[in-house]
This record gives sequence, C-alpha cells and structure tokens, in this order.
Amino acid sequence: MSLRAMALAWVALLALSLGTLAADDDLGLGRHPWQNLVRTAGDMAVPSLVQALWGEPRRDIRDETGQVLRVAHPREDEQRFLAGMARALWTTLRIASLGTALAALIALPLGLLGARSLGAPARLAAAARGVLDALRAVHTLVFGLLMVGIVGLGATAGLLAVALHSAGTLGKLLAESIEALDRGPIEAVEATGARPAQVFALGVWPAVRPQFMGHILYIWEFNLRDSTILGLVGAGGLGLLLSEAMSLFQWARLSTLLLAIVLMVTAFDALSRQVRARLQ
Amino acid sequence: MSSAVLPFPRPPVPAIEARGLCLAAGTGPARVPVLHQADLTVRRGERVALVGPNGAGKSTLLQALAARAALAAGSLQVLGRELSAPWASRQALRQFRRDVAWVQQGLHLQGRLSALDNVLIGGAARQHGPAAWIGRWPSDERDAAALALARVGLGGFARRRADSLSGGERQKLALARALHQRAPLMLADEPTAALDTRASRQVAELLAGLSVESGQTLICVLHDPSLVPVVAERVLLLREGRLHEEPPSGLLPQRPRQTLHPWPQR
Repeated sequence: MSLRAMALAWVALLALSLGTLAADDDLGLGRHPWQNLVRTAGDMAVPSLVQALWGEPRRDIRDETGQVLRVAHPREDEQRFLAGMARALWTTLRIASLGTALAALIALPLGLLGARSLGAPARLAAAARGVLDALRAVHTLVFGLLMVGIVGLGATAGLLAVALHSAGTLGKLLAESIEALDRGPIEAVEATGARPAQVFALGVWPAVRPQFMGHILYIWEFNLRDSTILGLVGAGGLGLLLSEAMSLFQWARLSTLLLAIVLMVTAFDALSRQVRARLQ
Repeated sequence: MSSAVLPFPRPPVPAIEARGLCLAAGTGPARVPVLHQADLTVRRGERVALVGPNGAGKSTLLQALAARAALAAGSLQVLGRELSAPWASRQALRQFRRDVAWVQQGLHLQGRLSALDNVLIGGAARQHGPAAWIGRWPSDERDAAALALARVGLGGFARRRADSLSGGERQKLALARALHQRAPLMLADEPTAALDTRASRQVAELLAGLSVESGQTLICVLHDPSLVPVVAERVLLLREGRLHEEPPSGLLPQRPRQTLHPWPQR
C-alpha cells in the first residue's frame, strides 16, 4: 500500500466517522451547552481551598422558628478534606512510583528477550513480544478493575495495574532501543572473543541504559497522571475523591482536586525533564 | 600399524595461508568480486602492509581474515584454523576471535564508557565470572590497560569518556584496545587515517615495535606510502582482484619524505 493510498484511507476513515456520527444525531452539544458551560465554570471558580483558609468557622442551621438544628463548621470540614486529599495524593504518588519500578523489573527480561538483534531463541522472542503487546493493549483502568477483583480494593491493586500496563510499554521501548543501537561497537566487543553475557554487559547495556532510564522517567510521569483516576475503580488514590466530588456535585472540591493534580503533575514533569536532560 | 612419530618437530604453522582464495564485497545483487584465486602465505611474526586503491577490497580481505566475511571460494587458514569450514562450536569461534585483534576503520568504541573501560574490553575474553560485567576488573588488568593507553600516548585520558575524545585520540584508543587484547595476530585497517604526521609515525613505529618484541603478526592497511617502510617488511598490493608482492623499496619512496613544519619543532 503506497503512502498516498494510506493517506487517502485515513481521510476516508475521518469522513466516515464524522458522517455516521452526524447521521445518528450523535454529534449534538446537548440542549444548553453555553448555559451549562457558564454554570460549571461558575461552580468551579472558587476552589474549596478558599473555604479551608477563610471560610466561616461556624454556621448554625436553624428551622423557621429559629431553633438551632445543626451546627456546621465549613472551614474545619474543608481543612479535613484537604488533609484527606494530601493523603490521597501521597497514595497516588506511591502507586505511580512503585508501579513504574515494578514495571521496569518486568519489562527488562521481556524487552531483552523480545529485541530481535539480541538473538534470543525465536519462539521465546515471539512469546515475549506477544506478552508485551498484550500488556500494552489493555488499559491501566481495565487492569485496575481486574486487580481489584483479585487482590481487593486499595493501593496494591492500583500499583499492580500500573505495573502491568507500563511493563508492556517499557518492554517495547527497551526492545526497540536495543534494535536501533549501532551494531559496530557491539560487534567490536564480539570481535575480542567476549562471551555473549560480556557482549551484552560491555557492548549493549552501556549504550542502552541511559535510554532505558529516560523511558522509565517518562512512563513514571505518565503513570502519575494515570494513577489519579485509578481510584475511580477502587484501586486507591485521588480517583476516589474525584468520583465522590463529582457524584455529590461538590464542584468547589473538584476544582481543588484538579488544581492539586495539575500542580503535582507539572512539578514532576519539570523534575523528570531535568533528570532526563542529564542522562545524555 | 604403529602410530607414526615424527622425527622432527613440525614446522610452525604459518599465521595465514590462503589457496585459491576468492572474496566478494557487499551483499545481494550489489556483490562485487574483489579477490580472485589468490595464494598467500604470511609467516608468524611477519609485518605486512596491505596497499591498494580505494574499493580494491582491502577491508574485505581483513574481514575475511577476522572470520567476519564469508569466502566465495578457496581455502583460508588463519592461525591454523580453516575459515572455509563451519565452526565446530561457538567457543571455537570465540577462541579464534580472541587470537585476532582487529582495529576496524569505524573504530566502534563505546562512547559512554571511559577510555580505560574501552581498553579493558580488549581483555574481556581473559575474564571469567560476572565481576567484569559490572566494571570490576582485576587490578593487573587495569594496570595493563593503563599501560596500553600510555603506549598510544593517551596516558592522561584514562577517565575521559570516549565520546569526548577527538578523532585522532579515538583512533589511538581503538588501537590501545587492540593492543590490550594481546593477540598473536593484529589486523589494522588504516590505523593512522585520522592522525597527524607525527602521531602517524609514532603509531606506525609502535605497531612495528610491538610485532618485533612480542612476535605478533601484523597485517596493516596503509594509504600513506611514507609509513610503509616503517611498519612493514613486506608489501602486498591489492589491485583488480589480484594480490601482488611488492618489494618495500620498490615503487615506494625509500625514506619518508621530509615533512615541512610551519612552526618550530620542539
């Protein structure tokens, strides 16, 4: 198939997608898109964070006769929510970090077996590549659901889910980095009469290690984002708070959560970029 | 019939013995013959310069000698091993490679490793066990590698990363790695291509001296005719698929040309 034909097929797919969705009347924006947008933006404009700092310390809720039915403590409530969020953030960070580390451990042997240039036995190599492709094809959330069924609710399920999906990506990246290595230096090590393990340790690994480390950092960043929604399926972390806030229409809290996620992810990205730059 | 006992020790096996050797370069339809029906004998300890125009097949011949290129026809024995036959075992091939040090044109260093670590790779086949994989070499190996670096004039560069070295320094480093291999046969493909006149001469003298002192057989592809008499006692000219024996003093200048230095020499 020529490149031009492939481009045409792509355009045809886009046109077909748009056409069929429009024909099914599935492309609408709902009844009041602008009103809804403005309302949502308004609800989220003041994050609950503000309440935690400057909210009323005490609010009496009375019936029509003036009898105090209940005493609310908005400031204290929101402060408690912030503390809970901090714990959830910490859990999310731990899930992403341990999950990525575990993923690297799984990816290393599979990637080495799967790299065509390292000459693993053909069947073993094909099997390793198959496992990597399968792991990569299943979304972290789906693994999360499966793992919650197997090991129960909580962070363990989350980190296993992260590890399984990321192992597929990391293993594939490792195999491709190895395949893309310049053969010359590797053959030069071979030419000294070194044994295969030495050829790997002295010829392949020094060249591919920085790339592998860079990929781990990149996937780590990615997993931090992914882990924020794992709680949606009960696999621990921020996701639970997200789904709670959305179900209870607590838009101010949702706003705080999103702010925290953006801050954490941005800070981590910046850090990771600096480390990756030094890996060259 | 009693087993025959030779009355005399057998004459030493030549380092290289080729009979009716045919070689081709490249792959597939682009394959071109570069050597036709060549006979060649190189004694152990001999120093041979291989000269010839670009594309004549000098590098292909070195590849064949290093057991990297398949023979088109004929027989080729290097260090007593027949290269036209398949290898009895991977171990036999590794043993052969250990005995042949090969400085390739591309140098092929490990850019991220230090100069010293690159040299140590030359001695990898001497090491057993996993300690050497993680960069822990025995101290006598480290001393020997440092000596090899010093001999090529890179004594102060041991800790520098290979990819931070200049072209000439890299060439010396590749040479140091080959020296450290301490192989009975050294194949060098234009080992002075990136060097200035003085460094070229130093490297040429080093190669020749090493062969004289350790009995290492040397096959060296050279382009600079002034270096041929420094390196070699025998010259082979490869041209149009034939190997011609040339006297070192034949078509080549007897004495190296006087080089002009625009600045005063120290």
